[in-house]
Amino acid sequence: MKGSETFEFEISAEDTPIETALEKRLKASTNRRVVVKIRGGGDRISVIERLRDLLSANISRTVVIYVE
Amino acid sequence: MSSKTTPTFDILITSDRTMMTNHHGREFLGFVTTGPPLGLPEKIWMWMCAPKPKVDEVGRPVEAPYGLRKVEAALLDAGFSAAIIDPDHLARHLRHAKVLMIGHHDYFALNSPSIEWWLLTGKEPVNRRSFLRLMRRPEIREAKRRGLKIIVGGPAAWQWLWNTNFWREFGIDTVVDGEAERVIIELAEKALAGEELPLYVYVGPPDTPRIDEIPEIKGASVNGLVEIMRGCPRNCSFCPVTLRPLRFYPLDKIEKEMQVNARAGLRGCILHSEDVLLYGAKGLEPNPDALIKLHVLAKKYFKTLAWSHVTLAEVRYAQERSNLITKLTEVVLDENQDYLGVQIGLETGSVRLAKEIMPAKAAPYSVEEWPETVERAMAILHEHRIIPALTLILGLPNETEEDLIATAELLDKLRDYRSLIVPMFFVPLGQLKSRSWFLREHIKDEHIEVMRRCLWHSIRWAEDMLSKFYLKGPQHAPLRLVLKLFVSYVKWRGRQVEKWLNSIRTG
Repeated sequence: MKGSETFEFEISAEDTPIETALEKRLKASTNRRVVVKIRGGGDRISVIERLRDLLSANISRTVVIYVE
Repeated sequence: MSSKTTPTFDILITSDRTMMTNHHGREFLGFVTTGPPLGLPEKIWMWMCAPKPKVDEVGRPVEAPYGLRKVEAALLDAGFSAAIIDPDHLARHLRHAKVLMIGHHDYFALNSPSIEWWLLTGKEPVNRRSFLRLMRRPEIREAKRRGLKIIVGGPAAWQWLWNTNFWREFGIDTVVDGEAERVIIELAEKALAGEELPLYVYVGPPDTPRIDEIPEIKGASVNGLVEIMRGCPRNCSFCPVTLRPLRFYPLDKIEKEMQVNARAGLRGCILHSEDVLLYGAKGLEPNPDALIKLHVLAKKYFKTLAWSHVTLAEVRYAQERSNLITKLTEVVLDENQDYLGVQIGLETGSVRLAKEIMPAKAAPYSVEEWPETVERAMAILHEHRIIPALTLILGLPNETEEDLIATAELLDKLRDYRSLIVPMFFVPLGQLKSRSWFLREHIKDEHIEVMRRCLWHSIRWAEDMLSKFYLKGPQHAPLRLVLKLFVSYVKWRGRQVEKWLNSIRTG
């Protein structure tokens, strides 16, 4: 596996829900580590709540989530 | 005139009392922290299972949980000013610290058996109560207001995803889920530099550390626990450990950790692995030479030895193939030790369910031979004075009444083998993470039958163990007495429940 890649999401600007968009990016990534930067989600923890099912599934790479 | 100054640390590592204890030197008493205080005041319950540990003059415990010791070692090796601090001594250190790291096996009592006792009794287990009390201490809140960064992790890190109210309330900056040795350094650097921290880190299999990247502990671990390997090749679908690669510690690395524990005055050692009998194995083929050397090494430093886990299939195979259980117990059992304790997953007595969730658990025997393998392994353990605490899983996905009847029938065959059997409710982990939780309303008559058998089996053998093996000697007399009273209380309550169940059945 390759190194690290970073995706940035602007929640309000996304056409698709963030959880769907992130799931697609995780499936497509061939990197060892995926860094996700999320902006515009309001309460930071509520962004994690939206991603809970995705993060609870088995993930084959490292995921680092920043929420501004 | 010399003045003594208390050392200060940038990074404090801690946990609540149910973790920061040596359980009176009896690891199995750690199970008691997963229950609510039954028939006893909470203070006595906590004394029984989680006494305060010895600490040095600044509050560093002599023995600390192994996972916290690994984080401490990684930070110290990287040059950070870090220390494990007992929760009762946090206040003075929090005035100076910039980061607080916390680890736990079961923050919110969502793992088995905590969740099971909680569901059955309707009372919060003491591990959860104790953790919430810790996080609500004024000194932590005050330090948080001053800018303290809080990073949480450990095997129960996933529970924060389901307790986001507490994530908010306690102001947790980062949750780290997975083997942390690689990522913790990066997080510590960011936290100390005042840089933005990620809210959540999931450490995937490619980021798990290689053996040479795993640091050796710098201070003693609780009850002398030392890891001998990580990962497991059996691939059971309910277990998160199998998602990680299999790695063996070389003997010299294990010896260094044993030396740390021996220097701290510990007289016992627990070899930790998902299956100790697979140490150095090729696939599932045990490596007698490696295992005997490992046990001889442990007995060189310690009077007593325990295994964290083995599998029943490996017990049977190791003995049938090369008399290995006999050879290992010849090394372990001596004038200092007359039994060997271990925790083992029995999971189910149903071949049908075993095929679905743990097709390799019986290997190298066929899964159809699972009940026979269990019975033969239990006979081998009994004969060799190895006392297992067996765990069963109730409420597995797709479990049927026939599966539960098969489990109950297998339990009947295990009646004469010295052991404790603890039924646990299914918790969605591993490859079954997305499946539903097992809840109180899902309990059927067949579950009750299995639980009844476990209860009476465990009471019978707990009384036997307390009179013949466990906590011998006058120094343990008060604890032995409390435990005997507790077992008598459970027996009395069990009889009451039996009467109640019979009255329901007879209308």
